[in-house]
Amino acid sequence: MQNKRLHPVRFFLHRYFYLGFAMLAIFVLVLPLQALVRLPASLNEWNRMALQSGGTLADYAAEIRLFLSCSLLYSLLGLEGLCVLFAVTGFLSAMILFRHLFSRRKGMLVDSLPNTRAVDFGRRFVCFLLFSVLPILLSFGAYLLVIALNGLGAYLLWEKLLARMAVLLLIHFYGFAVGALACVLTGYFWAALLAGAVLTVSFEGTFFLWSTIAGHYLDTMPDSFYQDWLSRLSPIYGMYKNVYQPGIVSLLPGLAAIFLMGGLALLLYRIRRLESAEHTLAFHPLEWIMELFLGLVGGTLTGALVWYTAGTELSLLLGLFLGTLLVSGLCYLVFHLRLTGIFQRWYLPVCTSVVLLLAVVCLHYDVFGYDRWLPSRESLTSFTFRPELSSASEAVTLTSPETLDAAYEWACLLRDEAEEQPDGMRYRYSRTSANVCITYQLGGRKVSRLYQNKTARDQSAGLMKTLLESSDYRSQQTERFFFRHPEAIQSVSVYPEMSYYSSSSYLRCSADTRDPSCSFTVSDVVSALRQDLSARTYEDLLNDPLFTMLLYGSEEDGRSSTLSLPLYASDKHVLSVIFGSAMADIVDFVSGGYAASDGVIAVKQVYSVPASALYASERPFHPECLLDTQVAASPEQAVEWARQTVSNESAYRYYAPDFRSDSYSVLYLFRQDDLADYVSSGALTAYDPEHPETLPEAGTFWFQRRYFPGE
Amino acid sequence: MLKADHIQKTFGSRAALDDVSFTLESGHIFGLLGTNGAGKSTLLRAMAGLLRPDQGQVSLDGVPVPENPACKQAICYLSDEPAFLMNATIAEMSRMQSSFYPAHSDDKLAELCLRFSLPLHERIATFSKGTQKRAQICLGLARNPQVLLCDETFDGLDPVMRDSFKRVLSQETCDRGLITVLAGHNQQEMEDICDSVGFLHEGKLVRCGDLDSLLSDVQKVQFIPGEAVEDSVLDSFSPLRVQRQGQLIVLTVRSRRFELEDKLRSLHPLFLEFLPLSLEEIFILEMEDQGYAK
Repeated sequence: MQNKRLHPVRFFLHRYFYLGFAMLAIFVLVLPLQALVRLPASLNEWNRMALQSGGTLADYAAEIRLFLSCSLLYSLLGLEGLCVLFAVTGFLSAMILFRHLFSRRKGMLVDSLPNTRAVDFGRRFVCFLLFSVLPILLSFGAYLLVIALNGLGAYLLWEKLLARMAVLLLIHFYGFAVGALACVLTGYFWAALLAGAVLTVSFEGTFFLWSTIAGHYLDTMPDSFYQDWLSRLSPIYGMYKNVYQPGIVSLLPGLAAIFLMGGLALLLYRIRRLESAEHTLAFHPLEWIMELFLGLVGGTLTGALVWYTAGTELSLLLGLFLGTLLVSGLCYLVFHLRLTGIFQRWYLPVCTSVVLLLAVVCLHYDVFGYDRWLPSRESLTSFTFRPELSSASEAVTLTSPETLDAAYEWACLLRDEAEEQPDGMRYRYSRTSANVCITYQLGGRKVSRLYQNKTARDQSAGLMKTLLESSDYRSQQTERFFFRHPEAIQSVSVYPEMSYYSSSSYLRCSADTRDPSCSFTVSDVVSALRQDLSARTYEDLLNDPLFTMLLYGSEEDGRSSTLSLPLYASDKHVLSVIFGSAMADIVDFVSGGYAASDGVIAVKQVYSVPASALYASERPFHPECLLDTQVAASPEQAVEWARQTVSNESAYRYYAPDFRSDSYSVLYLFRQDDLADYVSSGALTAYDPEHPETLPEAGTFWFQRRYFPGE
Repeated sequence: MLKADHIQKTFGSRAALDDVSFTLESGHIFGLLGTNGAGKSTLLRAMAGLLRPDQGQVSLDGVPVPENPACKQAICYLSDEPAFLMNATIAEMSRMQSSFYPAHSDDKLAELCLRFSLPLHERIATFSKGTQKRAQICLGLARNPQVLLCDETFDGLDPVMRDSFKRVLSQETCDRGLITVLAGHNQQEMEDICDSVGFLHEGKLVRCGDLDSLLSDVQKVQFIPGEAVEDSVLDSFSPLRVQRQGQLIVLTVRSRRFELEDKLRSLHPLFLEFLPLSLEEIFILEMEDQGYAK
């Protein structure tokens, strides 16, 4: 018998060939096979649409590009599923290549081979490259081939597609690094799986729970706090986001994590003792470290669960403490596979509990001054603010010294308001559009805070006028993507901001460039809008918007996007372009003239308490506070009342004082047709149509509620 | 030359090896006997470079063994639990060995498999325990190692195979100067083949030396003294064991024969006869002297 002498590397490759075969099968199914199945049908559809519209396939270029570089890739598993697949296959590859670490006999066989541990590790890594990474690359090549064979090669966004695949491969490497480290650290297959889960999710998961808990203590913590830190520090989040949109966040944490874990796996593999196989943890000194760490993670998880259930601070503290004890016991059981001696290291869960409880104390008393923090004026290089929950919400960045002065003064008022809040845990404040998220740029550093702006806005009207009429602010309104690239706008539509409408009056007050009878073009509108946005004053913004304009189009990467803009009565240029000679009539109608429509009943009610108190409680009705009810004597009076009032949404303008504290009168508008329906259905029994003052207070029968500011 | 120099190894709080030292020259067969849990396997694994001693060093021709590919190529460790590649045949294992061990000889393996009646192309996992051991031995010898470490290799082999294995070992030792360490409980086989033996107890090498010297260092004698002899007189011999059967006294003493004979003559024995001692008996006596199972 004479065997052909193989190089050791080639022997390894022969041995793990089955892994390559399995990986190829999986990724051929996910990539080229999906393209083979879906592409012809999609191509037929585009061709059909092109034929119908009398155009060519090139008319759908944006859609095709997006499909090929994005949708088709995710077609089988979705974006998250694809990321998970790449990570899991990397992890399992590592488990297969290092499974000898779980058996003493197999470990002895491998260790007795005449090579150093480092060389052995290197050979296994080469096997990973050849049997895990190469099949993915081959499958991707086949995917591109299928696209080319369908004649769509010219529509490929190579940069985006290759960037996505590169990040997916990075995720695969990450899975391998986690798997290798998990195998080296543990001595059982199941322990390696657990270790992999801990390495993957424990940091982000624990951070998520603590940021949620902190959010209930720190008044100025932005909702995006967790996401901001994730994008800076989390390897998984960074890689996932880059698959979603290449270049959106840094890949540095991911790369660093791969090198760190891979390097650590190699270092530990070199010194790992043979006798560590069939022990839960392969490195005995790590036991107490793991017990501490897992105590922190598990204690946090249990604390959060108990707190979510009971909702009190005491429940959080109890949950943290009990969770730490429980996890510590579980760790002992897992590491030693027995219960005797479980209380030997009692000081570990005690230490962990103390750390967690201290963390709660720090949050309770804001020991680190999170809510009190404000940068110095000198260190501020730019100031970005973003109103929360606004339909046209966009961040505005101010850089000129004059506007920065005003912005800083405003920030001081906001910070002072936050500082006045009492310490302790609370439910999160309900979000309104009065809330503002401010990002301070301090040289190379950015710090964000979210402010309630509940009382600060009452004192900052002057400052807001300065900011909103600044050239900084105005120029940014007209520098948004669609203004710089009006050719990217596919349609413009305008809708009136009024609740009452019949289809005819609503249509009369609306416009859409997709309507064949539309008399204006996108470029006309954009040009006029630029003029109006550049001239808007603070006083204009204090009025209710009359219309909402939606600009629909495609962003740079082909994604569809909609920009929503409020239009005010003062925006005469754009309203003139949209409505032409009917502008005055339409503006008159939308700004209150609708109250004079047939079948509208206007009812004014006066209360003994202001609107801010009236609607602060959970009760919808307050008949005990009602002083007077008046019905509009004529359509003209109804219109007058409508024009004197402002909408409920106006109460939450971040830049204007809250008028509700001085508003004791409320206007309700009813439609007679609606009331008749409610009466006939029995929902409204006490109403006498001959005496509209018998309408019950508010109720749910009004179609509009408005306030009389200062009345 | 294979040298173990003050080897110490602990597992947790238990000392598996405690200051073990010895040197083995080329062409030497060393028998390692020990009680259960004495540390035989640990010592062999340390010598094979599989376990890293906490203190001390194992070297082959002056070169430290751990993490040394050249040394590992020269050393073959036959574990008490044979391990093979999953679902492999002897031919496949041979292929693996030929990749990693330049000295591996396929012809030699074929010859050994014929001698030990082993099929080349059947899965080793289907073999019986004894047959797997035979496969392990053949593969190990086919590597042409410089050092062969056998951990309870004789155990599990039938007498015919044991005899064959001993002959092969002797041949290898003579032809190539193979250094062999045989660890196990089968003292009879060791007595047949070993040049030197060591007794391991609780991690310590309590006795180590040439087999003949070891055998001649302990004497078992039965005699009938001329006059009644007190125990105190017998104690002066520092006996390992004393048995009285009426007037007949059986004494086991660590001493040279002629020295003991001279001493006994002073008692004017009516009858004096030296009995042969086997390695097993010497081992039992030594272990009892160490306090094992008393």
